[in-house]
Amino acid sequence: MPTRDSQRVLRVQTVLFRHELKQLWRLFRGLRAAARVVLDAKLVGEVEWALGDCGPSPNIASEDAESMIEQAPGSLSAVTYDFFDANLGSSGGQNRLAAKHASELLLVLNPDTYPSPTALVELVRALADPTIGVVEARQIPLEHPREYDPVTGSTSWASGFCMLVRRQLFDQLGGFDDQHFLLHCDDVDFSWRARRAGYEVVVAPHAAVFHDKRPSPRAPWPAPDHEIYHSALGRLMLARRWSRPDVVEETARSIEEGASEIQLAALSEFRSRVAAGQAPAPEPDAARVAQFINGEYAPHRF
Amino acid sequence: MASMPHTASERLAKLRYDFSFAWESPYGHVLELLNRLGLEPGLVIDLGCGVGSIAGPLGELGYEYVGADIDLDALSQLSHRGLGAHELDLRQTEELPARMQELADGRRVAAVLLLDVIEHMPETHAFLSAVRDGLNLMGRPPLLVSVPNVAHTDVAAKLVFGRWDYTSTGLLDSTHIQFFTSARLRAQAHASGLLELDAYDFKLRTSDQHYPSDHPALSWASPIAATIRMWRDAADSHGETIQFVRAFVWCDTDRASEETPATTASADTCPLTVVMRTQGARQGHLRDALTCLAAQTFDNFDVLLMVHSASPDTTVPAVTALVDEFDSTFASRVSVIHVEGGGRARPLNVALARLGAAYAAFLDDDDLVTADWVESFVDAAGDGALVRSVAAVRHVSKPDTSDRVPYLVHSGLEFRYALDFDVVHHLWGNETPICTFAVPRSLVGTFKLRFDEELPVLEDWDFLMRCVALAPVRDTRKVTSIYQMWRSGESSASLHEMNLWQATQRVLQGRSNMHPIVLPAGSTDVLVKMCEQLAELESTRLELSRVSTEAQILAEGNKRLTDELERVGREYTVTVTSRRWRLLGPPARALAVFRSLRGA
Repeated sequence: MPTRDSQRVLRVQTVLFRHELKQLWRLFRGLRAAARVVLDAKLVGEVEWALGDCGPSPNIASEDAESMIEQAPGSLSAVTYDFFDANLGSSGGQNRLAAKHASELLLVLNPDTYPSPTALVELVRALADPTIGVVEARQIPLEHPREYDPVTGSTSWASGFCMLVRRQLFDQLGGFDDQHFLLHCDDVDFSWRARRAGYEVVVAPHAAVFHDKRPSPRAPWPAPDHEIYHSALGRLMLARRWSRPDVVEETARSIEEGASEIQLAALSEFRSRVAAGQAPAPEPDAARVAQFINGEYAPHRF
Repeated sequence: MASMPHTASERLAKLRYDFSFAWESPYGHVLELLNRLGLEPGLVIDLGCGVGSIAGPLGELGYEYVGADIDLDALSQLSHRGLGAHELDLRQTEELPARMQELADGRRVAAVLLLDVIEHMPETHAFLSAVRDGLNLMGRPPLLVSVPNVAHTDVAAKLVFGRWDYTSTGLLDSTHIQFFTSARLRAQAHASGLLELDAYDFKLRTSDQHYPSDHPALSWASPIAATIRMWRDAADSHGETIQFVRAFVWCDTDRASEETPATTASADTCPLTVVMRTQGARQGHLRDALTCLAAQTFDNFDVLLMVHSASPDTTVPAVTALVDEFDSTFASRVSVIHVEGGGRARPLNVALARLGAAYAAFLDDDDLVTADWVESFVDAAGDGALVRSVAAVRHVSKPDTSDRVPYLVHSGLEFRYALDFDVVHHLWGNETPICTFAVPRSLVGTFKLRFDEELPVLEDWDFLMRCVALAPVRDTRKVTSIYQMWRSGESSASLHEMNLWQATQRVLQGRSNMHPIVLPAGSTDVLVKMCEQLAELESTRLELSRVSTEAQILAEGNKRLTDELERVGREYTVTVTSRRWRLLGPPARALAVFRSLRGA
């Protein structure tokens, strides 16, 4: 017997890695208000927040989680904190957190975000359509350039900065592929597997979520070294899984010509894994969902 | 004022105060102020009356007159005119209330005058307090005061150049021992329990201090004098005031503090107020903008959410409800204020009039900011500087296919604005949208700078330029806001035609051109580079012109040759195709060959 809306649990999951406590309190305040609105709308019966820490030392003390609970009456029913004592990556951390609770709805949410008050309501409403498996929020102030249908919201993939997933689908897909996608492209891979399983992946444009990105005239957003590394590795892994040897070859050539040490290290890692049989096996029926366009994984509007 | 002199020479000097009456004079303004107050006929007590220059006109107006002074010669003159004259030392403040009551002698007092008196009193507060007590004993009639303005532009300009010229009478009368600006007079009176009721100040552009007239600070043609006048006028409206002519009434104000503090406590506690404009019609945009503010890394700021041109019955409650959706830690810092009437600048000015924080920053409901927008402003704030950050631009439009999207983004970020403020460049056009600067409270409070409500657009540019004429600029050199350019829909950029923007731009440039400007250090380099670039362009233009002329000459020459060639060609064709040529041509050529061979 399906669970009634008012009895469903929405589990918000956030994976940390050396994030500032101040940042978490900021997210807590945004989440507290958004949870109150979605509870008032009776779209869910409970909202809980699970924090998982991949950092080298605990990010927050247990008292902080307790303090958050005390400060969230009528809003968040639980705030839990797990120190993993290992860097599982965002994908591994999300999988670990999801395994701890059987909630009906899973919201993957970055720590450097702040949901608008109606964000959860809009995300959950979008998921009322049974054909939709994954819903992504709209990022502000810097909107992602990926194209989506302005009427249906349909898009190629959903960003893991803030994506709502049906638990049943999450389990069906085995969660994120944390073996091959530690930090980057785990969300693209997950989205494409969801679409191949017959679900729509959509953007909910009215679900605005602030993502703390700082633009710079020098680059859209300056990326740290580990992001450059995992972005390159993720792209190579993704192209291999989704049966695009041409993209693998083109990416490798581009890296070799560019001679960035960080990217060369990523290429070397990829080749080692392929040689060791640890790279993902090509997926069947890949061309139906996978898109490699101008270095991106979807058509871009700009 | 005639209460102070004691010696014969002082009394002689005092005669200079025997001003003959004129309506366009400080005394004339006193009478006009009396008239404005609509007083019933009665007794006017003139404290420090001197020779009672104002007595005659007062009598003509139906008032009974009595004067009091320490100067016996002056009093004697008054008596000879049949006017009431009493000896009184105004410095004896303890006795003053009772003495004032004696002067009234049970009669109904219409008003008390203090004309050119206060500036001669050693203790302003004690003196005014005593006068106030005297007023209280005689039924609290209004007190009319005339005091010279030490902050006249002539005095200020000369002081900039180190000159302070005492004179025997006038603004800097050498017997003055207290000096007043408008603010100080009002503050001292208020601290003494006197509330300002009305004012009719006497103004002259050129004061008795306007000498030497060829001094650069005073010359009407000098840029520095024009600049000082401009700054003086920006500070308050008393640059041309000679005498403050004010009416005060007794009030029950707390007399504990003699001077009003210059700043309020709130300026110390709240570093920044965000002034946000909305019409409440675009809830999605407003929610986005508020979410950006709620997500700030620095949260010691408040928000004045100005709801303009909106229904107080439907829109304002809807905006309030939207704010209440937010977490209370943020919502409690947002004040929703309904503003009616006026143009785009009205809500900004209403907010500035309420400003309590040290700085004000501005945000329209369709613009977005990064998490460090406030923190960047606050970090760079201080020393009265205007803080400037940078906006990135992107193009958006309102969707017409569905209401599922609040707006459509069509471009990535364009970084078209320089990281460093350049005032020279800003004379030409604006590179600092309203969401990218924070203005210090001193400009809003001391200088009363406001947005020009008459401007249909570009009110932010105009305001910014007036601010930077007075305040230094500190650059955060950070891109912290997203300025949205609308392709269609309801934004200012799309509602107003481009020609309106350009016309307003020209108007503002013309307005700016009417005044001298002061440029910060480094501007010479900027101007020199501009001139060099212009010279290079001009040189290139001249070279192009020269080459073009040469090309034209060559083309004409070419055309002439071509024409000649064509003509010869045509003649040749005509010749070789003629019957005569066909018959005679070949033998003639053979003969020519023969002759040439024989000649060789």
